[in-house]
Amino acid sequence: MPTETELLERIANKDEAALQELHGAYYKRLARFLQRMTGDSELVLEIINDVFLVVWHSAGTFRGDSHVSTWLIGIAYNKALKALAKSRKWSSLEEVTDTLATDDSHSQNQMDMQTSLAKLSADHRAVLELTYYFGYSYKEIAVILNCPENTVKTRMFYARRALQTILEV
Amino acid sequence: MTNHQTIVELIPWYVNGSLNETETDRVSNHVTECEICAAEIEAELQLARGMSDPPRGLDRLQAAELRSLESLTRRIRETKQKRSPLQLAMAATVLIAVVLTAFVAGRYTQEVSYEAMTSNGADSRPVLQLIFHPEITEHDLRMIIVDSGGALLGGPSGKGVYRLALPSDVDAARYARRLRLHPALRWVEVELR
Repeated sequence: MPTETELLERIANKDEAALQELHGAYYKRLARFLQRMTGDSELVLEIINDVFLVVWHSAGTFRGDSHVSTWLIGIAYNKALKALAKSRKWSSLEEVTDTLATDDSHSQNQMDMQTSLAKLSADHRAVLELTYYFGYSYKEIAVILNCPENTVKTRMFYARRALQTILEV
Repeated sequence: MTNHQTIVELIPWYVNGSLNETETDRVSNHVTECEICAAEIEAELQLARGMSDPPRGLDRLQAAELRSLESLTRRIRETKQKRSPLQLAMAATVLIAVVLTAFVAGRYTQEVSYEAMTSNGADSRPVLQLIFHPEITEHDLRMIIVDSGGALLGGPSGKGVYRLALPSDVDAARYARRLRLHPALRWVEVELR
């Protein structure tokens, strides 16, 4: 089974099968991360498409100084920020376009958490998701978000405080 | 910044198990003397469990994977077709130059390189052993498997152990730490090979 770095090398040589394999390996993770950030599944599909187009055109520039996963999620993060800025959904997901209104299997606690997370800004949701779902270290998140490590810690601190405030209301 | 504030900022990564040994010891030592931080860790564990639930609408996205791939493939082929006449001419020029050089040098050989598969052909994917809570729903089980990107190899054993193969590029130890926070799981260990 090829490694992800090997897949990128093949993609740099315009191997479509390698790109499809990488898409298969990362689609679910990117979908989850981007859905958490944006709450808009059609937008998520567009962003995922854009991410892999970037990979198609610039796989040869990947130098291996980060993991492939942090590189890809970093591209996705930037694409999501730009898309949200364009659609002005930066501050919070006031209207979550994708709902599970007919899904009764979620407990009240889960709904409260989902609703509360939707009230945070996209970058707060991103750092929470990267930490608690993806399990990244703050150093890795700094690479993904392309910011200093202290910024990651501060952003997480304020995300936690904001979430606490929302949950207490 | 005070030591206390430094520790407060590290707590999320203490909880997700990604701090290095020095930082972990620092947090552990501080928490034994600081009730505020001890309470914060409990709160963060709750938050971590809450974050394990998928965002709304993810089911729909999971079902759209094939559509995403088809759309991507279409866009790439459209990109290829848009190659300019100049690019085609340059590509042709390079190709002619390469062929002529090889002909003149008389060294046109085709090298085939082989990459050996793993010597014993064994599956190299990391495997987790899981024991679920008895009251787990089929939805929870399915979402754990889907989220992992892996495949259930078997189970339950007589002791209720399931085996989950993860994608080969996943850090199994880190993924196991995260899964231990999931309310549906009683026990998670990386299978030793």
